[in-house]
Amino acid sequence: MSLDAINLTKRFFDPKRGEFNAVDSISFSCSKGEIFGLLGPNGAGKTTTLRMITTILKPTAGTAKVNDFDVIAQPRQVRKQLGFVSADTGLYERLTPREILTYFGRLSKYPKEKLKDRIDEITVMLQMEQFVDSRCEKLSTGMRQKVSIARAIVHDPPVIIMDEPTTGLDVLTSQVLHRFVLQCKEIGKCVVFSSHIMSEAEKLCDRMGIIHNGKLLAAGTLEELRRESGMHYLEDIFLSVVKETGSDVT
Amino acid sequence: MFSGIIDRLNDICIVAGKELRHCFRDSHVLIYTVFVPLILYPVSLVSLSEYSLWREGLAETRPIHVAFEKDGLDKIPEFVAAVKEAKRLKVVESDNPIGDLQQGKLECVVDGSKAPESIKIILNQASDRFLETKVAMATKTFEARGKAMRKALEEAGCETKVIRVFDIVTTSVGTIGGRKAKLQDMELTAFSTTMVLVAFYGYTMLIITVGAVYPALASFTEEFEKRTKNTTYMLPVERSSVVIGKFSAVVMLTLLSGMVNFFSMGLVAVYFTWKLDWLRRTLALALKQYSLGNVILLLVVFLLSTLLVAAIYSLMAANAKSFKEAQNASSLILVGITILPMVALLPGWQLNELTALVPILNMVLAAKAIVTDSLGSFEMICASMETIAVTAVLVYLSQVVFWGREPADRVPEDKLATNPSTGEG
Repeated sequence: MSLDAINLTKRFFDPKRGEFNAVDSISFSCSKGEIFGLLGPNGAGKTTTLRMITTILKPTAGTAKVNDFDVIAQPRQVRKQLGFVSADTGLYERLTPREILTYFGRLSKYPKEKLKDRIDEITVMLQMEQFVDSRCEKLSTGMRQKVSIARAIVHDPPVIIMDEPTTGLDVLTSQVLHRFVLQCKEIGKCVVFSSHIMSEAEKLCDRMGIIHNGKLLAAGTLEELRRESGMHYLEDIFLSVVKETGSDVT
Repeated sequence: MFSGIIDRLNDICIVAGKELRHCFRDSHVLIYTVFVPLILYPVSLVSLSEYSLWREGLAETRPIHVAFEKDGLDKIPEFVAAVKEAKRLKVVESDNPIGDLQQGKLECVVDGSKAPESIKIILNQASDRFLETKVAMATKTFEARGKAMRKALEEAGCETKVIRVFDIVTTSVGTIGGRKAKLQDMELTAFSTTMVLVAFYGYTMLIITVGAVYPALASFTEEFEKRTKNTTYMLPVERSSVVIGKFSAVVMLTLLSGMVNFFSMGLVAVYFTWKLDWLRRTLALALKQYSLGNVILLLVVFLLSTLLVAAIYSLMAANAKSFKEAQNASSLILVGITILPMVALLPGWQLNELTALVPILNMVLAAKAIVTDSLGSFEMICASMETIAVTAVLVYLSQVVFWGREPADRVPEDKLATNPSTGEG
């Protein structure tokens, strides 16, 4: 159970700027029971990278493999292996969380007879008991994000991709989410987690990659990054790595 | 392969079920699909009829006042008698009939001074009962003319049976083969046929269209607006299954809207037939024209029209950037869809090899052919096949434009706003 990004590249065309690489030959891997963090400022290429892995975007070059399924050649099989959580994914406003989970669970081919128990289990895990039968249009940002996470894992995928999942969340909800990510690791899931919040990455990730201007500048465990940069705090490590490569993060 | 088809159908059903649930909780869908047809139409039609009946009652209690110019009164005895016998007309004495007409004290003045060459009937166009008076006087003129002719023939010693040549009896073409009930009265035949045509073409196409708009908007545009498209895309199902599921929900809701409308129309018809005796006779005549086969054919045409209209709106909604844009576009489509039935009602437009290939128009002409009992099997098959083919193409295009707008084809918004050198958002 693993995820391998192999020279992933995404080139976009913008009439004002011409062609540019949003993601430039990025490679990394994440194995079972591991949390890999993609760190970088806004617009660094984190979301584009994760969207290529989740088959939402087609890579211009390179590829990614999820449990040995290729994102280009076998996108449907890849989707079966994945759960995708993003800060900007929406919910069906007039459905309740339970209805949404049933919908996604059934379409993801989760066994019908086990689906109700699975939804109850996730409801307890993410502390959603209070609002699981309320319409989504009435839910707060934190509640909605919990539903979004629940929707991503309802079919019990082995690989979970999270794109800045704590954006806009309060401390308490972020705590629940952090606990959930660690739980995923404990039960052997492969988790790829993107963030621009360094403290969050420090707390959760086993290994991390620093991404900037579409390039992966450094990757390793926190200790390895500390050794290489000679700095202690991840924020300082990040700034030094970026400066070393001559990039500007202002 | 067989299990693959079952799986796919299952996915389509799941998507359609979710869309139905989602749409049914949308206020626009509820209002336009259920409440408007169920409440607004019967209330407005019944109110109109009550108003007409009130006017009718008013006419009975306040008859049309007619005055005769004294000069020439003796020259038109049949006409005077016909007016005096009429319940809704009242002959009044007036020294200055024209002056009274101008002041609104009278509705009509009859001048028979030049009879028998001509009778002058003077009306006040400013009167709110002008049309009513005109129709009543025209009827009385016709009646008086017949009586005068009979009298003249009798006085001349001629056979009065000759007058019967004016008793016109018409039958429909269908009666020649003895398949249909005889339609004895031309006016009733024309009225009943026209009424059914108008009801079916105009009203039905309109309700199909109105019924399809909001379900389509809710199913497709909300995926963009509420940012649920990516999560839907992430599902391990065929892309086409999602779009077909959505389309199926739009079709089902449109059919439901149609049925609610028919139920509502039925209620109105029951009300009117209970109130109006002439309508009961007219409807009875109209219904006699339809065999079970014709009714089934009309239902087929209704179903095919629903499929096509649902496909048109699905494509429009899948292609729109927002709910508002789709709403604006739907108004234009509404005009286009409802104009074609009106064109088809014009004389000379029939279902043939050419018109069978024009979407919507062919369905309307097919319905017209069914009603007038002139439907050709070949043309009907052509029109049906063409409608199914166009529907399939539109659904396919809906899929292409719905999924084709994936970010793979364009720069994501965050990238557009990013400075390439700094990476700043």
